[in-house]
Amino acid sequence: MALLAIPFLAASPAYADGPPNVNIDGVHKPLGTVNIILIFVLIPLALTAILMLIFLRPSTAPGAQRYRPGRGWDAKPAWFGIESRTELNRPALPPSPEGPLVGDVLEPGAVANPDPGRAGSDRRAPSPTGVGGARGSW
Amino acid sequence: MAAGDAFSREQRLRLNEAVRTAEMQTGMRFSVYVGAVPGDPQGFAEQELAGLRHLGPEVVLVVVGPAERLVQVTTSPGARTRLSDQACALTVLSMTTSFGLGDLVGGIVVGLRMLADATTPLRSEHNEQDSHAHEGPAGSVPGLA
Repeated sequence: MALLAIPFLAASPAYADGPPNVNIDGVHKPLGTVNIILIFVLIPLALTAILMLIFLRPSTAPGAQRYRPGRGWDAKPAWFGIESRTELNRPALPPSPEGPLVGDVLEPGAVANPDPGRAGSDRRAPSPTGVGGARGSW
Repeated sequence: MAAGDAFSREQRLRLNEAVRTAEMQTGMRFSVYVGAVPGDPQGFAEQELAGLRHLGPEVVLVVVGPAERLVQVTTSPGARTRLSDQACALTVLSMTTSFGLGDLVGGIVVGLRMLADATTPLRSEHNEQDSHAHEGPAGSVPGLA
């Protein structure tokens, strides 16, 4: 703590004759137009520009698209692990009354339905296949 | 958001590593789909799960629809015996919390870890552990016999 106080103690004699902007007579020195512009305009603008560059620049990671909840998602579907084989021969889906889904980049055409008799609202019924799991939304 | 790859190379590596770790830990097969979920999510997930049937009887599919803001964890009948629906629901809850904050990759990674941790170990491992436990004291200190 004593070491931290040394600069302040050393600097204090500089103020013995008054603050830097005050003459010995006690009259304030004018800053000057150039100094005013520099201090109150250019420096704040430069700091703002630096901060904007830091926080608003686009991601530099190649291919990375940050997910933001509530915004659209039209990136290509991605699989991790083993890709389902039905992806290659997806059957045509009935057109949605709300129009195409945002991010629906799956090719129209159609696909092998494992259970052709199951369609429409029947899919919402409890699965007779014995599969389990859970669903959630955010 | 412009169309393109959803994940950077590092993110893909991270997700693939999470899948691999979960598979090694449980012996089950995991697959994660991130993209559009057309129609009914459950029907879509079951359809995709049917396409993974060739992997074996114990398959877990995690479907994440960022546009639809939904996540569906689906377990095959074989996997369901080791991974309960309650554990899946808990995992989904955790995942949706991360997704709501915009952390798609982190949510999936944590979800896979939770699913793997909640999976009951294989019965053979149980038996092996039990047998070791029974023969433990005598086997570890043979001189005492």
